[in-house]
This record gives sequence, structure tokens and C-alpha cells, in this order.
Amino acid sequence: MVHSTKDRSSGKIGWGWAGLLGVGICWSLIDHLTAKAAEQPLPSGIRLTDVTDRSGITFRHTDGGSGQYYIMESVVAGLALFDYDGDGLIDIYFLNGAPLPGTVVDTPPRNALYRNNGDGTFTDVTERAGVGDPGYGLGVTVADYNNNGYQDLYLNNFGRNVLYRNNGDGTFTDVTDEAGVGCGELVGAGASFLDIDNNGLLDLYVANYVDFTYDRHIERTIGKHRFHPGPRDYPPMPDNLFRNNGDGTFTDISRESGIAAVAGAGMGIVCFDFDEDGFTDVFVCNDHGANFLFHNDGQGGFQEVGLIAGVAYDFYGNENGSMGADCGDYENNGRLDLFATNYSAEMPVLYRNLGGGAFEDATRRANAGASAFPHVTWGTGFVDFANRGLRDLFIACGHFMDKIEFIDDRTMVDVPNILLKNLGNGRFQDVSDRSGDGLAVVASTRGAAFDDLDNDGRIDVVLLNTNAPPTVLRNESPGDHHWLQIRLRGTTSNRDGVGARVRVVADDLAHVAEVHSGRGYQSHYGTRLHFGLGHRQHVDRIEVRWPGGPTEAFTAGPADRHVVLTEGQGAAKND
Amino acid sequence: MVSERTGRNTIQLALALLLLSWQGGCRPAEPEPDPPAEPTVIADPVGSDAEISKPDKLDDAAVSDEQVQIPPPVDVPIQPAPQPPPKPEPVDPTKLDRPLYPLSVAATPTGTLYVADHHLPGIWQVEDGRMSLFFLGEKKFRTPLNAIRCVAIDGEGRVLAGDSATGDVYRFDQQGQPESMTGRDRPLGVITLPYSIAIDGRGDLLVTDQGEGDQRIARIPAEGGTVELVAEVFTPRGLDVDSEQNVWVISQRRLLRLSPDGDRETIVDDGVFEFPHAVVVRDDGVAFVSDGYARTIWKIEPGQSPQAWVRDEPLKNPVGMALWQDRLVVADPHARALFAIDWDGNVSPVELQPAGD
Repeated sequence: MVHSTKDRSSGKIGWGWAGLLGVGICWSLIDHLTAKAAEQPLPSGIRLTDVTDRSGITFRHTDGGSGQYYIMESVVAGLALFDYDGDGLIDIYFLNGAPLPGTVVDTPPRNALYRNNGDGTFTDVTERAGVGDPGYGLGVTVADYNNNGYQDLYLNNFGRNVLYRNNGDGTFTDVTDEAGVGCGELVGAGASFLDIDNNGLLDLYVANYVDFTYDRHIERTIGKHRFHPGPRDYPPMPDNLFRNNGDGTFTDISRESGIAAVAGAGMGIVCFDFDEDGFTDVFVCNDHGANFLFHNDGQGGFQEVGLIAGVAYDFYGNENGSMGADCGDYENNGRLDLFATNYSAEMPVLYRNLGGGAFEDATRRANAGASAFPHVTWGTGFVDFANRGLRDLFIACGHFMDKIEFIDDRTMVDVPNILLKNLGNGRFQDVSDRSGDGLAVVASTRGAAFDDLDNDGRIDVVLLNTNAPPTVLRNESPGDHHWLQIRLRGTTSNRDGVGARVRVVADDLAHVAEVHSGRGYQSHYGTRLHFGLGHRQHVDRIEVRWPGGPTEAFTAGPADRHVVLTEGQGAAKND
Repeated sequence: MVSERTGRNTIQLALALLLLSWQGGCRPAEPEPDPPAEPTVIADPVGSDAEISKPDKLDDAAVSDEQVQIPPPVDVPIQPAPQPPPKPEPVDPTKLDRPLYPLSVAATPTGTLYVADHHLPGIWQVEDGRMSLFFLGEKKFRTPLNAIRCVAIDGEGRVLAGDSATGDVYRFDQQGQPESMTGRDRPLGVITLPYSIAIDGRGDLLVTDQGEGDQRIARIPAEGGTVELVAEVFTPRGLDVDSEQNVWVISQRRLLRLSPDGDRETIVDDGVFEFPHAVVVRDDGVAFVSDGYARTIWKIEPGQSPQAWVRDEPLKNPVGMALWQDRLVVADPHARALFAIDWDGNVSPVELQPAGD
């Protein structure tokens, strides 16, 4: 018994040591394996590669500052991706700053247009195209406002805004005065073309920031350090809405439309039909104030309903320093959700569209942006980077205070951007550390724009970085997922189909997108709609709800194509 | 990297919990990403009138409350949006002494020129230097010739014009009114973006269509009617038909030649032209190409490399081009002028007398 007991006892002791040893070995093994795993994190299925150096782009942004810390230096600019010369290749237009008082330059900075050569390189054609506006660029949008088949360019500046009409010969003409959309000497922000009354003519929404003039410049000092003044140091400005008269001129209807009834420090905007009543509405990010959502009554009137709709504040009722916004259907439920980037120490906000004109802040539930919390976030986009049929989120980051570390050491001026992968279950995952070297680029990004630069069916990225060269990220995501890209051609609707809603059905997948002019952070991209299809090789049906018109069905066919859908023809054409 | 380390620790913890579970220990909880920390409200230090709350770590030596100098917020009422400046007076075409934006030019055998003016919009007739309005389009979008792009003369001396506002090609009747050549019954879509018109040996119209999804050379019968596809061409611009019925066409930055039996030959490949527009082929097979970005008229002799035949001033952005009484005539919208170029390459402005004089 004793022996037996001893034996059992010895056995217990031996088993315990063996167990501990086993746990130790297991732990070492786990440590080894997980270390290996950490060295090679599971790939996200998305790969964005930094190809800036081989792009041929020599543009460098400047905020024009000389140490005075004017407020516009803190917000700066967006960019536009569009096909200016009709060759089917997406070109790039960068906004730039201008010398502010005290700044001496040899060569004044100007905006820059880069033509896509189709081989991964770009050529600066700014001077030849006549779009080198030397104004202080803040926002930009693109659309064919005169319905002649060529995309035009609108710049929202600090100072006189500019409307460049595309001549169709590779050049543009400044028609600002003739059109009446110069807007005086305001501090601009985002801008969008939209058809407010579905009459086939694109009207123009111009966001304004604050009522700044040089003689009202405020010097901010914390400790020994100068910082920029903030939006609350100046009165907010109402925005402008211009009605397109259909003859090359516009009429300012800011007051009668109700847009000018409220004022905010406007920044990025996106115009979309949030309540699906057939009329395009306007969402305006406001810096340090409640966001605006202007509901379009279809009769030329707008009512600000941000609070009622649930997009004025975040979950906590905080008014954020909202910067940029995009909308997209991240749940594939047919409703366009809204994502707004914000100031540092604020979460970006994912406003989930509940239907019926209401949104909820689903940021935490969706895990949409916890990693962005320390940073100031700007450009953004709902983009299906891996053609999975799920729209991911890209978030551009970077502070503007060059001494931010003295008051907040959690962020910096130059930081990496963030990529959130849509997991398909209503949640996102930060995959920035496993999605290619493009996410390792450290800069202070503002505008972010997304389109298929090489026509390979994968959406690439172009970033405007403050006081630095831009970044071009080529999408080299692996896999054999399929896609469809759609360009709309309105015949009675506006020519670009801005405001049209497209629904693509492929087997069990159905998702929607709208054509927008102006989105993200004071930028423009995505006139050509992109739909990832996953493994589905065939598109069963495409439905287009033209602005103000009925829904038109198109028979689509095989995937992996660029197609053009012409209003009234009901048949897709290869591009 | 911090994130890698975090991920590594998370995996370690998960596997350890799994091991314990296997040993009969506690059941591992369903993995749940850590919720973000409760947001620490840090007032915008430069944009708020509230006190600045310091973050966890702050360089106290650098910042003290006494040193924070923030003026009180300025209480200024909301400013109304400023009124736009008065718009410029509309142009009176009868007082113009030169075209506003001459994009294209065509010449009759008798030497009369027709000039497509994109910004007018309309067509000028130039006889012996005297400029008169042949057709004045409306400013209203999507009306005929509101966005005129090109002009041509058919075999019977009638004026043809392509318009991207309506996506159509028009022929002018004896009353000077445009008639649709396509008999279209749709608002748009027959010829989406007509860029150039040429007449083939049968008298039919060949039209380059730049429309997305429609990039091609299309044929319209001389009498008008159904549009036929001749060839799909990437970003087609100017075209011409030579004496052997070969079709020469600019395709993006290339010059192609299409034989009557459909063979396609690249005459000038990428890397020469910057933004070519029109092509004109002389009876001896010598081709000329206008290049707006390069401010150049290129000369391509058979079997030879292209030569920059005429370059820079007075050319600013040469676009349209036509044969005109044993020389070339060039429409330059940025110079707002027509230029004549003889076969020795001498350039001279086409003297224009103001309309209405």
C-alpha cells in the first residue's frame, strides 16, 4: 500500500513535473510558432505596393507657410482622379498651396495634372493642358457639367475658385467668371457637382471653411511653441449652392435653397441619396461642429437634418472635428452607409444606414477605426481592394502641428495610413501591417483617391501628402477574384450619370453604388464604378436608377470587363 | 513592430487557453478584438476655448498652464455668403474679329474655309479673308452644335459638322440649317463623341467616335442613315482618306493606316507625338499631323521617320488642319487664329476681316 501509495505519490509528482515540462515545451513551441507567425503575419489578401518612385511623378505639395501658422496650412488639400483626355486611362490632378505672406519662392507652386501613359508612368502636362492654377488649392471636384462628353474641373480655393471647362483637345479654359462660380475670397473646402432637381443639369455645391482674413489671423502659443489657430477661432461660413442654368452660367441659390441658413466649418463632402427618395442629398463634414446633412426636397429646397438622421454627432453625442467622408454599402444590404474621418483622440465614425433616413454610429461594433483613434484622419474611401465583393475602408492619417509631440505623444505629423478589411460580418479588421509596403509609407496624408490606374480591375490608390511628394500605391492583391467596372452615360440625365444608383447582381451577390462627384477629403475619384465579384464569373443583371428616372435593367454578361451603360439603351457595351 | 508584438501575444494567449481547455481547464472565450480604449477627450488645443487637458505624458518643462496663451473666442456673427461678381457681358458674334476657339477647319475646292468655333458655338465661313457667321449654335446644352468639334465638306460641297453635345453629325441644307445625318431617334448614342470627319471614295462619311465604349471609326452613308462600324480604334482623333482609299487615323499618340481590306499598319508609334489631333495626307502620300502639346506640325514622308516640320511660334496649340489650295491651313484655338503653311514650311496667318464689317 505504502509502496503503492509512494508509487502513486511518486507517480503524481512525476506526472506534475512532466506536465509542467510539457507545458513549458508547449509554451516554447507556441512561442516559436507565434514568433514565426508574427514575423510573417497572415496575409490580408490585399497588397498595396508603393510605386511612387517609378511613376515619374515629381509633384511636391507645399502649404505655402512661412512660420505664421495660418489656419489653411493646417487643412490643405485633396486631389482628383479622372480621365481628362478620354483615352480610358485615369489621370491625376494634384492641388497645391500658394505662397502665404512671408513666404518667398523662386518658382511659385501650382497645381499639377499628370497624364497616365498607360505603362505605370505619368507625364506632367499641366502647362500644356492649362490647368496650373496657382491659387491656394483646398478642394476639387470633377464632372461633365455642360454635358458635352468631356469632364470638367472645379477648384475650391482659399481665394478665387476656378472652373476649368474641358475643351476636348487636351486643354482647359478658365470659365469661372462667365459661369459665376468664383465665390470671392473665401476659405474653401470640398465641392461636388450634383443634380438637385433631376433636370439633367449638374448643379454645384461648394463648401466653405471659416471666415478667415489675414488681418484676423490669431497667433496660438502653447508653451514656447506656435500652433495653428483652430476652426473655433473664426466664425463658420455657410456654404454655396449654384444652380446650373444649362447655358454655361450658374445662379447662386444658397439662400433660397436653405443651404445658407446654417453655417459650419465645412470640409469634405459627399452627395448621395441617403433616404432613397430619388433626390441627391448633401453630407458636409464640419470641423469641430455638428455635421450637416441637407435633405433635398426635390423642389430646390434643402433642410438640415443631421441631428434627426443621426449623423451630426458620434455615439457619445460629441461633435467631432470631421474632415472627410465617403459613402458605400459595406454590408451589401442595398443601403449606402457613411464613414467620416475625424480629429485626433476622436474615433472616425461609421454611420450605418438603418433605412428610412436614419443612421446609427456603428463604429465600435464594426471595429471601424480604433487604430485611428490617436491620429488626425482625412481622406477615406469604401473600396473593395481584393474584389471580394466587400468594401474595405482606407483611412489617411497625419497631424498638422509640427510640434504635436509637445502636447500629445500618441501621434505624429507623419504616420502610416490605415487599411481596414471588411470581414463580411459587419466588422472590420486593421490589416495595415500585412497588406504590402504601401501601408508602411510614413507621411502626413490629406487627400486620398481610389481608381483603377492600370485597368487591371483592381483599385489603386493615390495620396496627397502635406509638404511632401504624393504616394502612388499599385494594387497587387493576389487571387483570381472577378470584377466589373461601369461607366454611365446619361442621355436625358446628366452625361456622367452623377447621382445614379447602380445595383449589380451576380449569383448570390448583390450590391449597390452611386456615382459621386466629389468625395473623401476634398477630393474626387470613382466616376467609373467598381464592383468586386469574388469567385463569380458572370454578372446576371445590372439595374440603374437614373437621377429622377425609372430604374433601367441591363443584361450584363461575363465579369472582368469595363462596360458603358447608356441611358435608354438597356444593353451593356464593352469599353 | 508594436502591432506584431501585440498579435504575437494574443496568439500566445489564445493557444495557452486552448491548451488549458484541452486539459480540462477553463473554456477559452470566443476571440473578440479588444474594444478601443475609452476615448480620452483631449480638447483641440488650438481650436477650443475650453481648458487644455494634458495627455498622459506631457513635457511639463515645455508647457505650463501659465504659458498657454489662448485668446478668448471671437464672437462674430455668421457672415452671409458674398454676392458673386457681375458676370461678363455675353459675346456679340458680329463684333468678333477672329474666332473664339477654332478647333477644326475645312476648305472647299474653291477656297472657302469653314471653321468650327467651339466656344461660340458655331461655324464661321471665311471667303477671301472675310469672316461671316455660317451657323450660330445655342448656348443651351445638348442643342445641335452646342459643342461643335469638327467640320468637313462633302463631295457636293456641303458643310458637315460633328457635335459632342448631341452626339451627332449634321449636314447643312441650302438654307444653312443642320440636318441630322443619322436620323437618330434617341437623345444620344449613335455617334457619341465625333472628333473628325472624312469623306471616302464613295462619298460616305467616315467619323471618328471617341465615346467611351464607342471608340471606333464609323461610316455614315452619303445620303445619311444607319451608322456602320468600320474599325474599332483606341482613342481615335483625326482621320483622312488617301487616294488609294487607305484610312489614316490618329489613335491616342499613334498614327495608323487602315487599308481598304482591313489591314492595319502603325505608321508612327508611341514616343513621337505628344497630343496629336488631325492628319492630312497629300496625293503623293506625304502625311501631316498637328500636335497641340508639341506645338508642332509633323511631316511623315513615305517610309521615313516623322519630322517636326513646323514648330512653336506662332503655333500655340494646333488642332484642326485641312488641305487648302496647295497648302495646309491650320486651326489653332489658343492662338485664336488660322495659319497657312506652304510646302516649304513657311507659316503665315490667314488674315481675317472682322465679321460685320
